[in-house]
Amino acid sequence: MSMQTLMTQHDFGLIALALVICISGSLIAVNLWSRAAAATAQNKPHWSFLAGMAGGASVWTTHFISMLGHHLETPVSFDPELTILSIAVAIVGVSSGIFISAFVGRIELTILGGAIVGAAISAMHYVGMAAYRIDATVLWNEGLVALSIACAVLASVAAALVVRNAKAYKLPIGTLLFVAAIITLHFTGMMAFTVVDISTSSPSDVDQFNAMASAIAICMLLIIGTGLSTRVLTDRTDARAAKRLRHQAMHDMMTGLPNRRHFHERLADTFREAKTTHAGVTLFMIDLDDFKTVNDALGHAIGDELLRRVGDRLEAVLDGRGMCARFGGDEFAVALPKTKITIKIDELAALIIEVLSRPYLIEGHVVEVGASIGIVCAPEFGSDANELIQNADVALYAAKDAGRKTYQTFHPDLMAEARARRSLEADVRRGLARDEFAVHFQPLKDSASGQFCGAEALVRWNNAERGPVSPAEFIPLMERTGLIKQLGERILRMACEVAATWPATMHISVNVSPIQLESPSFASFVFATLEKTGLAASRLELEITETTLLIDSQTTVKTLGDLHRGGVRITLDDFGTGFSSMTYLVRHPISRLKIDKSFFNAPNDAVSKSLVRAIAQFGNNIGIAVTAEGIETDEQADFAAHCGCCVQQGYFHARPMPPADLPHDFLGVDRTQSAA
Amino acid sequence: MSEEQSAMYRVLYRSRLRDGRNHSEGGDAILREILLTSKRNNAAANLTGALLYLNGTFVKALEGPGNALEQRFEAICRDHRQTDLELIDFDTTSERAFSSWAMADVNRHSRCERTGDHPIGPRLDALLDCEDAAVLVARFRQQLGAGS
Repeated sequence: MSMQTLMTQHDFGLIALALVICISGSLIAVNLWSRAAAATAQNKPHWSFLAGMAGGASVWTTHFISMLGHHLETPVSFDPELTILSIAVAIVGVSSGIFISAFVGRIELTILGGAIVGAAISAMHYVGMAAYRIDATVLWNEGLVALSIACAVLASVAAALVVRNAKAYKLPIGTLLFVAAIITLHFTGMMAFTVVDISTSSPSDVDQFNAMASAIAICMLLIIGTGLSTRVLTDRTDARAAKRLRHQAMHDMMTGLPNRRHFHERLADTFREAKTTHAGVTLFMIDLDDFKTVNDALGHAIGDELLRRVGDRLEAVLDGRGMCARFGGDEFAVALPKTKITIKIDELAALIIEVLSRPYLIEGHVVEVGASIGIVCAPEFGSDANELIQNADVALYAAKDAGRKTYQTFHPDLMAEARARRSLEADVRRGLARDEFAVHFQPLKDSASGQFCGAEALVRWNNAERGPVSPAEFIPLMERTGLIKQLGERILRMACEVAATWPATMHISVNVSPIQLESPSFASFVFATLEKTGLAASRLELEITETTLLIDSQTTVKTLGDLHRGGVRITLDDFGTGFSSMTYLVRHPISRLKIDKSFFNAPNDAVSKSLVRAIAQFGNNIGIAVTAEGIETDEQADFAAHCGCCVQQGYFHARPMPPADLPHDFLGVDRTQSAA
Repeated sequence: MSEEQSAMYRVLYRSRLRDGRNHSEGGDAILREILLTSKRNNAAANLTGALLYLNGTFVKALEGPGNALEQRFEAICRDHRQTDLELIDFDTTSERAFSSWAMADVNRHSRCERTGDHPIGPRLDALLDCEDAAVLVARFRQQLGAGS
């Protein structure tokens, strides 16, 4: 009886090939395995399948090539069904094991998955051995069989844990363990396998075995190649995606400029560098004037295009001298390292304003905006990025306050102003909440009859800490912050409520801010208020200023028309101080002019006199009533009446007063009764 | 030409060379460069126009399909070698006034070059190819008077 262990007769070429395939296949498999572990739940099955494909094929190929490498002096053949089954067992088993182990949140699943991988490797081997048909008697050493399975399972569990946990050398250690699982299983398994009674009839055809081994090896190389390409491709896609994400996180999508965060980081870098080089940096905060108007009038698409073009113009002017960013809305920022600036900062600011204020031709529209700039220099007025940006904002605010198309350089006084403004704003908001704003009324007299004919509503604010505050102080702030809408509505409602209790001959004038008229719902609010308070529309006069008409907004023009058609009269206040264009009077539904008080301060001034005469005459001729403001003396009253001002207002006739103090003859209380 | 499919616009604007370059050779060089780039860019974008220059002030007319014209004008607005850029007119037009000129240089007769042709035409009127000519000539003259 001749007895042979297969270990003794090897074709070392094929064994070496099996080893190379085992290692490279395992490398690919472990790489894909770690991707499965890192993937989202949705992608885990796909990566697991790819990893199982590479792993299972490696196990199977290693096994078959080395089996072909064992040369026996007896005919050997392979059972086709079992051979196919063995590869299916390898791929399905390893895939499932990897899929289960990929749920890295639970270590028991990782261990279970690893064990399944080991079991799959073993199952493949023994199914493969069952497919191995030789003309001899086969003896199995059961202890070694059990040992081989234990080795495969342990090594696979270790590989699964390495893939899950290892920080460094994950790939080499994981691969080593996977290779160990395959090789220990195979060679221990082969030691458990002994053949006796070999018939020496006709040995297998070695050339045919070599051809088969080559075919299997080529298939495996294809799998390895695919795995490698997958790795390269996904790495590249990942890198591109990461780059794009990074770009998105750092840039403003609309203009492509860096965003606030990116700008802030770069500015912080500049500060760090400046500490060693002592070079300064200048920060510009740029804000468009009237951007909101453009957006409202022409729509967001044109507004967005405008912002893109502003960004492009800004970059063109800077010409690489600084970094610009869009902070959101219509706010842009520019950081200028002092070393790069060859012209004066003031000149650069003026240049930016000039270029950004040039007209924009967008989809057939001419779009005109201005720009305001706040400037701050570091290290003088800012020792870090935050402080610098804050100070630039303060300067920008001051620039906006000073008018359109201007720049303002930061100095510490601006901080005090900003603080005072903030504190006033806070008080105004509190005042609105606490209802601290009251309405007083200044009665007006008819020049001809000498009787009261109405009153102007005037807002009064008496703050607990500040005392009485002049409207000149808080109205501009309220207009800037939009709080004027709230206040204006309240004043109008209170004035109408009070006026509704007066005799029907008394009209009421209420001042309206340009901001209020810009609101498309203003006219309907006025009509609703009239209805609620029961005041006739013909008794209400709304006083507007020339500024309102100067803005030339479509909404305002429509609102004025609606109010006029609804019976509400429009008065043009402070006439004679601004442009005083006569065309306004014709183009808009103006029913009354109020000639500014400055014309009556000097009744002996011949120029003033003739102006008042001319305006009153012009008004009377085109059917516009004329009111004289600021009448303080008998003489001024006579003069105003003489010139043709049909209504008079001023301290000479009555001061502004709370509604309760209005005189009897104003309120229409029976004169005989009160005299008695 | 496909240009007839989109609306035709004409823009008329004036600007000045930035300070210090008015009468110097630098101004002259910039003018030549502006003319040259205008001709090249305009021909490519199917735009036509005319340029008038005197004592540092430009008056320029550009006409063509709306989109191309707007892009060209935007590129001009990005150029900060010019200053005080002021839009005089922007409107649709039924026909081109300078249909055979990529950029006609009207201020120096000797430099009036017809595209791909020899120098001709001593008078602005002769550059114009449509009936709006008289109006445009008047506008140019008016602007020239205001700018000098």
